[in-house]
Amino acid sequence: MKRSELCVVGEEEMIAPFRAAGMDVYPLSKNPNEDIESLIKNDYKIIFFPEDILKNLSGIFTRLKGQTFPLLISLPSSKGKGESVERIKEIIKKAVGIEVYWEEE
Amino acid sequence: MKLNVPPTRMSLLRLKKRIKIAKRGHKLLKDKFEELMRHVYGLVDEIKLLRKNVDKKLREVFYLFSISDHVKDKEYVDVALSYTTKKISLEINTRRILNLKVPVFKKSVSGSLINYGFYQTNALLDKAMLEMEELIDVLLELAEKEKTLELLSEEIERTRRRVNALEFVVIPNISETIQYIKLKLNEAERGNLTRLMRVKETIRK
Repeated sequence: MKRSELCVVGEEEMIAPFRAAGMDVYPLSKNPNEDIESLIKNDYKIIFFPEDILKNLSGIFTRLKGQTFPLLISLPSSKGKGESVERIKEIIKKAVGIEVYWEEE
Repeated sequence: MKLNVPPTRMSLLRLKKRIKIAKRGHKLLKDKFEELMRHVYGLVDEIKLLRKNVDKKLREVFYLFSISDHVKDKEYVDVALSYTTKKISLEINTRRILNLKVPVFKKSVSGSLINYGFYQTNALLDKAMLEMEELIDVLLELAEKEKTLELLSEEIERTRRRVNALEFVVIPNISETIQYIKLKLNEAERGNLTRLMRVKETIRK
């Protein structure tokens, strides 16, 4: 069977639904940076992770700059405070040069 | 700033050629820049919507899951879920936007999602699983769009730097140098002329 190319890392309660849906899931260890690194080595193309570890991964993001794969996508999580939206905002700001209006609810 | 070239006719010709190329490159890069920006503006709105959607759906799924855990024993739910035969496989392709390779996914699903009996689990779990199915689609779309945006933004930065370098450094430098060489050549021409006139004058005397 062909191995799935997308996986989810996160805390147990977060990854349970994804496991049920047939995705590869991995629990998060003390060192999220290493977790993600090893998943990249394992040749996963898309990795979803909870947004609260986003700040630990800046090294990986800089290294992968300009590459199409793998894709690292942060998901909103219980501990997160909207970091993923912040990141997107940052990217857009860099591209456009100004803050593009992002409506808050 | 003036370039360091000898003020001769040769270098004047060479510089004229260079400025022509620089101007053409500048125009092309500027067009590319505008095209990239157009893509970004389109993506921003889409991502905004998708993020909101993902947020809502995730919350819903987690909520349903946690309730179904509580209503029945957690063990039952875990056992039921471990029977899933669903496998998601992805067909990953790339699409080109200008010179960028951006990812495109095609999802194919095998096996069924709900693979447990009705006994020992409740309807909430079923609902959660169905929601999950939709969520995955949205997630993939989001992943695709976000990566595209990221790549675009990097390319825009690079292009902007090039456009600016051409517009504010290369082209002004060359045109300043051309101006300088022209003046220098004119001056030499005038010098020559007066010298000739003076020589002619002395010969006549």
